[in-house]
Amino acid sequence: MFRMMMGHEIRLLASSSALGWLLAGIAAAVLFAAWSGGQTLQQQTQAAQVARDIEAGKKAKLREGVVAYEQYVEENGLEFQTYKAMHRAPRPGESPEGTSAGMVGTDRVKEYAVLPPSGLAAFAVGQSDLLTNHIAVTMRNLAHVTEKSEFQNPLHLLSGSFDLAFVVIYLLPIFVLGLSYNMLSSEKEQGTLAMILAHPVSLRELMASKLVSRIGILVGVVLAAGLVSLLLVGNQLGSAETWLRFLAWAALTALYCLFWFALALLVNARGRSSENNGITLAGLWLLLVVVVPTLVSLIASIIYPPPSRMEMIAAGRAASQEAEANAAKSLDEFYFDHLEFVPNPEDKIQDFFAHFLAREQAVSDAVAPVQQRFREQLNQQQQLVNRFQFVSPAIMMRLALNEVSGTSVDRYEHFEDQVLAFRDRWTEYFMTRFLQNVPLRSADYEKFPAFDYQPEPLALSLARIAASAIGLAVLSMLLLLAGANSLRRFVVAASTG
Amino acid sequence: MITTIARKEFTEIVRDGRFRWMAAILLALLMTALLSGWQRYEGMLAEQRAAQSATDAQFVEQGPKNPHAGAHFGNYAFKPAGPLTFFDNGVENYTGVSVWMEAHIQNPAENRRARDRSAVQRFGDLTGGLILQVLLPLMIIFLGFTAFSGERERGTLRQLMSLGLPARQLLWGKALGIGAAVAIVLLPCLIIGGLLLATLPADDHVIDMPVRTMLLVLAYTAYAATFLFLTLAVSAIVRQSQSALLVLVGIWAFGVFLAPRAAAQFSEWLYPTPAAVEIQRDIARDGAEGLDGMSREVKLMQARQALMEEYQVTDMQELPVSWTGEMLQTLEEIDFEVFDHHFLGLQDTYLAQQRISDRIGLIAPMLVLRTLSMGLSGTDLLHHFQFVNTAETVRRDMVTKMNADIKNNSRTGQFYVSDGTIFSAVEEFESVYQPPQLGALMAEYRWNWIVLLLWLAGSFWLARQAVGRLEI
Repeated sequence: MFRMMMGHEIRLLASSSALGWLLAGIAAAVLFAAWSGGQTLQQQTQAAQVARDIEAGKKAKLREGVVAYEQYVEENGLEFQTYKAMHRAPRPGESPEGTSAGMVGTDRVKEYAVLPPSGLAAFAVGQSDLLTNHIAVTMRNLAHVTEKSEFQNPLHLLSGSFDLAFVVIYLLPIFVLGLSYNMLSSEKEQGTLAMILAHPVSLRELMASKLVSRIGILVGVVLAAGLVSLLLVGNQLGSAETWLRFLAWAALTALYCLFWFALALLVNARGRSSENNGITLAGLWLLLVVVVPTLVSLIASIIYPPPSRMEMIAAGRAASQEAEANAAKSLDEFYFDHLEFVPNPEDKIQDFFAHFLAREQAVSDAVAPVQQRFREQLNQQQQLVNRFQFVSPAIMMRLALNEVSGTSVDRYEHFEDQVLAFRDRWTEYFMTRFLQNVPLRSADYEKFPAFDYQPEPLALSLARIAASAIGLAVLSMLLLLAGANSLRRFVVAASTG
Repeated sequence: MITTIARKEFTEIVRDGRFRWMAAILLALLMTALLSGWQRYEGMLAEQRAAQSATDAQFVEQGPKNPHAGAHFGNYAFKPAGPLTFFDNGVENYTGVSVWMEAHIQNPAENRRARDRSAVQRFGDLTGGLILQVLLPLMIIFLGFTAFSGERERGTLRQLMSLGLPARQLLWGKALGIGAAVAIVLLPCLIIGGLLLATLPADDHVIDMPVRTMLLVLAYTAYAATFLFLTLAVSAIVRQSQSALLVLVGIWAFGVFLAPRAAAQFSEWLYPTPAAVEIQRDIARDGAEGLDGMSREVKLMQARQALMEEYQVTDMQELPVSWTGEMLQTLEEIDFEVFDHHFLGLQDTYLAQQRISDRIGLIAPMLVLRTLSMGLSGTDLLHHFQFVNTAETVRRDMVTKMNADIKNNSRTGQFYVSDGTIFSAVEEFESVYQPPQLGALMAEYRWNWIVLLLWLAGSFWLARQAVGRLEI
């Protein structure tokens, strides 16, 4: 019986021209989003590649200078010396900049630490447009290393991306509701409901057949469009991780659809008119997708306001000035921090460059605790949002989809931690040589520390999604139960008596 | 007769429980948005003033120092917020708020506020602007979609038409009734907003606030009226209320959610923003090779030649001024041109992108309104450019004065330490910065006004036609 009803429903749906338009619309939106997400991703990947290429070019050029000097020294039987800072370019036979570990490590060569995109990165731009995927690591101060950002138009950052996450979170519910806002009320209004129920079917069976057929068709189309998108703009299609991510995306999307269908069921079960259902569902959509998230965001930023970046700058400069005013003292402190590398205290290099590095160190020391506070406040905000996410399926989806696509704040923080650890390695390599006054030779250029990104285990990402996924599932189940329950009280036909 | 219809419509709406709910929610949200917005604005202002005066003092009190070393230390400019930020904070979260003004380099604005906020902020900030752009049209749709279709379904349209009213009166009656219902929600907010603005101390920065506020009210009224007439038109054309609702919600969702994102993507595709590293690379290249094809070395040589000719000497050591100062200034001036070429070029790209988005406003009125609203609130791209460009002017004034000090007070090759008074000769950002003139702003955004009025006229015309052909 159920199968027969399903068949009827599907035939009915298929015969309405609106459904065709609806499905074509959603498929088009998904594909446009895939193109657009893919474009953004390509821009980001390309920027990182250009950055690396530029630095590789600079490094090769410096190395050439060192090679030429090495030859000169060998041919003339001279001593290989370190570059001495001067106001003109070194002449042939004089040690070039590339031999100075201090200069090279400070910013003559930068190693770009790059966060590779996940296989599903094009599906949700997430926070990747705000948090850059390539960071230039140098011995410059901490703020200098981490504050750089891309040049995107702020207007576009404000508008947000037309990515699959947008289509799923915002548009998909509209399609779901368009397909289901009157699934019961219209039968009643057309007078067909009483006729159907005159057959040996219960109202619940009828609604189940309506829901299952609608969910089946819509979810099927969306997931198929998603699969096409993956094939078009996904990365690392050969890797199992990408497919696991896609599966998680598909499961979340299906659950999200289920939530909105369940909501439509509950609203239909109240037995009001189609018009009333429409207005109620549109209002609920606005509330859950727009109003509640902005309120949660407001609350999070009021309870855990980020510290002032402007204040941080002023503090960093005060530290720099103080270090400059007490140059001798800060130089001593600087050497004290690196005592193990100084061969003997009398050999301290008292030049401009050591002062510069000492000042940079002072700025980093002043800025580090403030940056830590930024991180802590952001994490507090994030935790608050994580707790409050259950009030809106849209928030749950946003967090989960960013995670699935590898564009969440957590992944970027994990990357930044690695960058900072790498910065320590980088500094140690060059600082040791600088303080010991050991010149860099061309062979050293191959041994510069290289950034090697260690991906987070996928399980960790999936664990972070779990809360959102379970939340969505539980909410949908509760709505379905509530809907089924109110169907019991549904008045099929107004008594005429 | 118009007033009778309006009164009937108004009473009917106000007595409806749904309206009370919607009105209460909208009012509560607007109040929250305005008050939290005001608090945010005051916080931003205090933060910026404190940081600016701290770094200004740090710059001035550098003490005896080589002026060029002082220029390397440089100063910061922090982005000042205008009072109307509390209503619409525009791109404020997404632009950098600080510019480091140092020797040799024009730094871009860094430290975007958005970086310090969780991912939910991407749903938007709860501001007065967002509520009026997004929520208000939906409320108007909810109140008006049954205006004609409902009467038709209830069978009262026949009676209404039998009165033999001209279509014009019928339309205006309905429109005024619904408009009045919306107004009772918005008026309290307008008053609160006005009172908040009135608490501001009268200084230069708020001189055009009344005009800006009035223009904001005008723009939003035109936008709301557009949706009102559109709603009435659809309600008159579409036979069933539920279909009218579907159509209207579709138009709304397209214009408010889909169009801005699609416009951003589309304009990025037409005018791609170059990557930061690409611009920095090109700046370095053009600085060395010269935009005019004359290399930096050649220009330096010419400058040295010119200086020696000016003082009619043949040896650098005989110069009564310092070549170092002149050389530093020559280098800066070569770079000024290069920076202008690239950074003003980037601003042109942003503006071209924004114009594309505004052109798309022809099919989605929120786009043109959004730009206008940000512009009037002082939180648009043009205000950001003004901040960045003023910071650059101050930076150039700073390096020029430092280099002149070296040139005039020392000799070539001598290591010069100034007594530190030169640092107070530099203009302070705070006293130089002026927000863009309202006139210039409105000239840039005249297209937006035109499109907004076109929408208003178009929707009115459509409603007028639809009501004129109303079928029972």
